[in-house]
Amino acid sequence: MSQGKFRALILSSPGARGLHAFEYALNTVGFDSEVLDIDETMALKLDQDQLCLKYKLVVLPGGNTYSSVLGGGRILSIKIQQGLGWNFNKFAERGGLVLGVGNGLLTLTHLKIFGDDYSFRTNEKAQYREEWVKVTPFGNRCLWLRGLGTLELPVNQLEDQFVIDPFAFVEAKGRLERLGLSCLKREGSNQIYGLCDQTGRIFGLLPHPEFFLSWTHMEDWFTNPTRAAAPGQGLQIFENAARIVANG
Amino acid sequence: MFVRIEIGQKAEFSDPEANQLISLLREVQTDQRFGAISDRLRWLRKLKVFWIHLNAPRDRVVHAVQVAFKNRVTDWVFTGDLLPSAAGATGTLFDIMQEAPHRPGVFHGIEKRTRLQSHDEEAGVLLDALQTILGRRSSQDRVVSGELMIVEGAKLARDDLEWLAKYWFAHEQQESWSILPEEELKKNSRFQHEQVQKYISNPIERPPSRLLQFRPTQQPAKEISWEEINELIKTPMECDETAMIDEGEEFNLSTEIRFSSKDLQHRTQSEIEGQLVRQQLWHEALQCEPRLQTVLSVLPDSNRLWRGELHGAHPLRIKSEFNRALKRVAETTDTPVVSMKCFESLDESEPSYFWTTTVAVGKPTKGAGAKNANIDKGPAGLFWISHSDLISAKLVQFALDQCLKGEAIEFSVPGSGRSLMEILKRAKAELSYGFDIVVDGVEEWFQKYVNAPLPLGQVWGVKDDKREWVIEELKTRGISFLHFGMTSMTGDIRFLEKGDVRAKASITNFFNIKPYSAKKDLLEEPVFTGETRQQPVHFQNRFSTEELVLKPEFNHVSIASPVVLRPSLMSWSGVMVLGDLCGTDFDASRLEYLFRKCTAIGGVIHSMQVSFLNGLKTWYKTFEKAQAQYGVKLDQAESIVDPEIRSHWLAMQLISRVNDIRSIRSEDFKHPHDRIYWLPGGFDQPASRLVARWLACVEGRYQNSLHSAVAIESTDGRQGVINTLTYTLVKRRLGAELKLQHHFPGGFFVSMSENERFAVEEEWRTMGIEFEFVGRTTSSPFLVVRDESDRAQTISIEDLA
Repeated sequence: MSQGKFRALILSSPGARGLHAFEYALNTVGFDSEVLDIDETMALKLDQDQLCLKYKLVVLPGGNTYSSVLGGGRILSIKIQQGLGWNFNKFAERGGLVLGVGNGLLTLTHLKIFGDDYSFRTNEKAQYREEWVKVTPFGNRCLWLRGLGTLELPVNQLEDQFVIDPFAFVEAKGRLERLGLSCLKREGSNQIYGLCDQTGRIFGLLPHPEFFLSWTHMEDWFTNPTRAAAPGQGLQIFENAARIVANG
Repeated sequence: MFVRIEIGQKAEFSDPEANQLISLLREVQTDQRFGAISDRLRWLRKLKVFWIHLNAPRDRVVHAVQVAFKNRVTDWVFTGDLLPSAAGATGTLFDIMQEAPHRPGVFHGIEKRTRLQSHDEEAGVLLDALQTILGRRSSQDRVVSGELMIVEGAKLARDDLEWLAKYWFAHEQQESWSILPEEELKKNSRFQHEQVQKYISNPIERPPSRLLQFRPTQQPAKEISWEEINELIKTPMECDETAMIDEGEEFNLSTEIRFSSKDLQHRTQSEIEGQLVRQQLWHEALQCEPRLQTVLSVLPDSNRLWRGELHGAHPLRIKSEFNRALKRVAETTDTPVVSMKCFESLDESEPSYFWTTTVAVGKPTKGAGAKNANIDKGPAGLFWISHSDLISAKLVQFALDQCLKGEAIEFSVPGSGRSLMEILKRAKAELSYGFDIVVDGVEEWFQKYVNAPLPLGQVWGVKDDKREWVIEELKTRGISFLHFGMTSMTGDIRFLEKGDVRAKASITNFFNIKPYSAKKDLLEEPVFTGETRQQPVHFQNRFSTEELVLKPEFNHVSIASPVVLRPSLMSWSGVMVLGDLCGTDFDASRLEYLFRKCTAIGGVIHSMQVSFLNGLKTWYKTFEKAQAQYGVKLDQAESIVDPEIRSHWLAMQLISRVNDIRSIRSEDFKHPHDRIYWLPGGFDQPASRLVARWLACVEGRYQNSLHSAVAIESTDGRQGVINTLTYTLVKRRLGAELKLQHHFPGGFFVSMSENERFAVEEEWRTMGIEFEFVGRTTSSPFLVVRDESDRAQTISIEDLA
């Protein structure tokens, strides 16, 4: 576990959710976390070099960011790319970690972190899906999921249908499987719930690990009250992050 | 730059939101009519729509749009021709329609947009993102968001679409909606600059910092005495009238109207039919560099015999020769010619004759407005350009020439030796629609010079979209300048400080325009441009009808359908010609009715021409009186006396200017369930004259909401009103339920949809226009009129049709 020397940035934006949960989770595992609003960050003119020097981890929280105008995460991606000029691939190459949760994953997709040919779209019922899902890590590309088994996490998402460009379907699908970028799938199905980049350091997932930090976060925790003090499964992801950073 | 963006899911993906709406509609069984809609509606798609105004060059806007909207995997982005590769195969909505299961299918579009006064969060977020991409903020930028729903169903009626729009699609208090026909969906005309501009008004309050960003930092100034400014605004100032535009000089409009029966008869007998017309047109064509020519012919049809002496000079032959001559002239002079047949008599004692008229429109030849006449007025930044010595004066002149060449400057007004207020008051022609002065950051300069002579310099009106370029030009050349305000279309003069309006006046008071001066009232907008060739306009007004003839080719028109032409593609301004042929029953009320008719259609009367055949003195007096009273110029009066013809005839035509041909209307009621209002208004009283100004689009902004406007003659009486309303209902086999409780003097009946009424009524109230709701149109073809005692009179429209 790190000794609080690594700093984490939680990039907030209008409509973002779970900021305090992220702060709590990261501080619990040993990061020194800081919440900064995107406009505030732009005003500070925090460029790519400063980002790499100052922070080891960036979190893109989920929620209805920017009212999901033009689709979830779209505006935030524009602000990151055009307003801040950040390149997360370079950040990862220099040892940084990036986590996108919910709409944060969509932001990463719009930033084309995983490639040009992937996107998410609204589910067929056009309804926010609020449920607990079991997700299973696939492959060993993603550093965030190393050593983890099936996790049960809450999901709260409208655009949860992963799509591949039909014009480049075979190639794009093959790339996804070959490189092991689709690192998290719903248990018992082929539905992709998480993606990582080629370094395994940038990870985005639809479920919200920050909302399962303690066993009591689960709806039916009282059926097994002896586990009330146990940590939630979501915390394991953050612990992995701390381990990666500590090991360099 | 004005851009319209439509974003829809690619055809290969389903539209979950649309599917959800269809399934909801299937569940709705409120009554039989509504329940059946799910059967009639076979397919539905939703698209996001944005109307965007970005104050940036085209290439940067294209980049911004590409970055913000393009999602190659899931979406198609329809932009007209801005990003052709972002959409499907054809680049139009046709690509999406292809996906409908029933093809070719019958498609309709329902479009909603957030009302300008409503909070539009989506637009705000998008604007923020676009400005982030552009890397700068501008108070001129604006976004309006909306949605477009494409529905398919062969049996869908307009009622169904309205119901869908009202109850399932738009929130009427925050959003306005309209129905688009299939043809409009398949075309890309709605992406045109003017179409987009309609939905984006100028921001009213501009943060002062935006205007000041190019200025050197000023020292904090002393408080401005706004009482003094208010006084100054109201004080009439003796202005040099010659410096202003004289309306008559703005362009060269020459007209000629002629009864040709005698001449034509002689020429017909010598077998050179049509020669007269040809000569007349050639003459105009050569003399005036014509932009438009209208020829109206009056010719009794085959039921009359030609009185000529030679064999073969039959009216039908004359007619065909005449038409052939016109066609030849049209082809050889590249001039639109309209032929009009408006008279046919069964009385054999009357003569045969042609009535020919030419209206030639040329370039502006003189006057201060000559160089500006061809510009569509838009917002322009007001710059004070200072040149303190000869060298800087030359620099400024050079920059001015460059900017004029780059079409960045709308006007320049010399200002040396005059106070700021004096300069503004003198620039009446340039600032005639109103302007805002923002004093933040220039308080000291403003305070010093508002009522004291300025040093050497001039005021420039810089086109909004070229402002940054001009600023760069000025900076490069080292010319000092101040950006102190903007022109506006509000009709108000406002002085703003920290976003607050500190002094305000109407243009009438500020420019000391005499109230209801007929000439000023009737003439507003320059019409003609320097385009060398004119083309037919593709008329996009959703309220247009087939009555309005806009094609500059041969058409038969009548008194019920004036000719409206757009002389240039550079401007939406047009010219309307309305002709009439009267007998002995002509009087002042008939003339006023024609004026009112022009106004109802949307024209601002410019001039009239008359030709008397055995004319009566009272007629001429009527015209003289109209000229004096209403300020309508009598351009031409021709009189022919022929004692052999034992009748009196008066050919007359009214030339009107149409500020925007897209806003012209016809008389017939368009849709069932429209609201009908009575607007009392003539030309005789100042209060009622407001109505005429509003209908002619001289004032106000919601005229486009009207579906129809019909003029009522003051002498019509109750039965006359009912007859007029009956005729307006016949065309579309509609009915109406009206309550006519009193006598109706001259005025207008107008109709509009329920959806538009709030905005229009509010505008009428604000402007002080009287109005009265009298009833609604109905889909059953019966006109039901109730009087004070609620007795109903029913007329079957179907029988009349």
